[in-house]
Amino acid sequence: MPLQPWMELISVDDHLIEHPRVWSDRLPTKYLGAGPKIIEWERPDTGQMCQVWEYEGRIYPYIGLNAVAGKKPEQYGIEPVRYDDMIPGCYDPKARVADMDIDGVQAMTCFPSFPRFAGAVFAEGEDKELAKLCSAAWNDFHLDEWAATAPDRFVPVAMLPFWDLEASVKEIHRVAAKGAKCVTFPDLPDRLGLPSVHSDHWDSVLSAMEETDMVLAQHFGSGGFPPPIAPDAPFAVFITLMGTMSMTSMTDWLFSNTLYRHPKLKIGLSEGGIGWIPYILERCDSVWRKHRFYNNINQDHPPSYLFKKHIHGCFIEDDFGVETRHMIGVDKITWECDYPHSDSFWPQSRERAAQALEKVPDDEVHRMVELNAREFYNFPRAA
Amino acid sequence: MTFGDDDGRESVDRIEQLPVSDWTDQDLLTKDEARGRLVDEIGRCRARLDELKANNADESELALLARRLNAMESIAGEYDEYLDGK
Repeated sequence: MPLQPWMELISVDDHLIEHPRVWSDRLPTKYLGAGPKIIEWERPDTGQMCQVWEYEGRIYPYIGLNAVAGKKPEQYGIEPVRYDDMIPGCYDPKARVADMDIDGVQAMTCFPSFPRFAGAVFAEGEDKELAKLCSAAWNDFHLDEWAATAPDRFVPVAMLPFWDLEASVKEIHRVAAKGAKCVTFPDLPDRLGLPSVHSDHWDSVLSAMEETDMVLAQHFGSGGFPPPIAPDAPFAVFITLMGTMSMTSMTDWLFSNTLYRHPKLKIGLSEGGIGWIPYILERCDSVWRKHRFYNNINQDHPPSYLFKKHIHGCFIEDDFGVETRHMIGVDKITWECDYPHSDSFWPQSRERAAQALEKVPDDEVHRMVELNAREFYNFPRAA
Repeated sequence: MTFGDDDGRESVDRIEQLPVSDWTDQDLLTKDEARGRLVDEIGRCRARLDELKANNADESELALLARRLNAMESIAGEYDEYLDGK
């Protein structure tokens, strides 16, 4: 039985649904009208009354899932459209802990929903002062209300007003002082119209991340860019290829010179799986050997050197990744639960993890399900 | 790890498809889905508890499992109230 009862499952990829008062409880009075709030809205295709977010007059027709770029409102189907339809563990931290208890999960890392995984909705804001306040309000909600409910059960997450570097650096230091352990950051910032990680644009932000020793968590899809698929492809193609977005963002890092300027930066690839990592590392190193003579890339180390130094991945269901764990590095693998998304095995997460890791030695299981996450995220067991 | 039968055809049970578009997103656990999962897990948990009792298992293990069973039954009961009253 490689997953022993004393091993605590730490998940590095989960989600919360913001309750209706997250922003109205925190924004200055003058911004309450334009700030995010829940309103009643009639779906134009079905006439069904839904609860939706309104922000600066724009309607965001989802409360229970993350917006999928390119998806039309009429394609939002049978997901919950009202808070009453959701399981309370989505938006109530006490109910979440109860669900974690029956699932055998000790701690979770909960990403945003309405603001999208890295807060890109606020980058769309017309009033940038309001946008910054909205971003900070989500952080205060997460740190003071959500994670504070059970400090040993939630790995605290923060987002950045990443369109403003100076404000982002200040926010990194502010949230670190309040106990944040990781910062969610767009997986492909260039797709949001910002400089890529190949530039030196992000240096001040990355230096602040090194100084505060938090993980830069890149959840796939957080840059709002969907995998390129045929317009008439079924949704299954889209879902299957989402993990390749992590492959793209990792390859960007490995061929950039940026990580050589930030030797202490820790990067977490959230929800992208791990089975593809040996392939892409082999491919990167092969390209580096053959093409470094004319590419503006580091000449001293192959890309896999940077992976080992900076990056960790996570898995929920990835038999191939578990089989090739030694090629990836057992110390580079973490586990995820993805609650409350339907990919989650709740309430059987622990049992399914035990099955997936059945043939793995105890010490390696312990590394992947608990110890690596505790070390990367500076999240020790409660005394 | 398997990718299907030797003749290349996947062996699967036939299912009844939902009358909705391909792009219908079901990426969130609904109360209905959660209740279904809980009912299945409660059944497995009861069977395991009976098995442990029959084998005179350790009291602490029995207590742990009984606590989990109670928690699941309590949450499933809340979903029953909501879904049956809808």
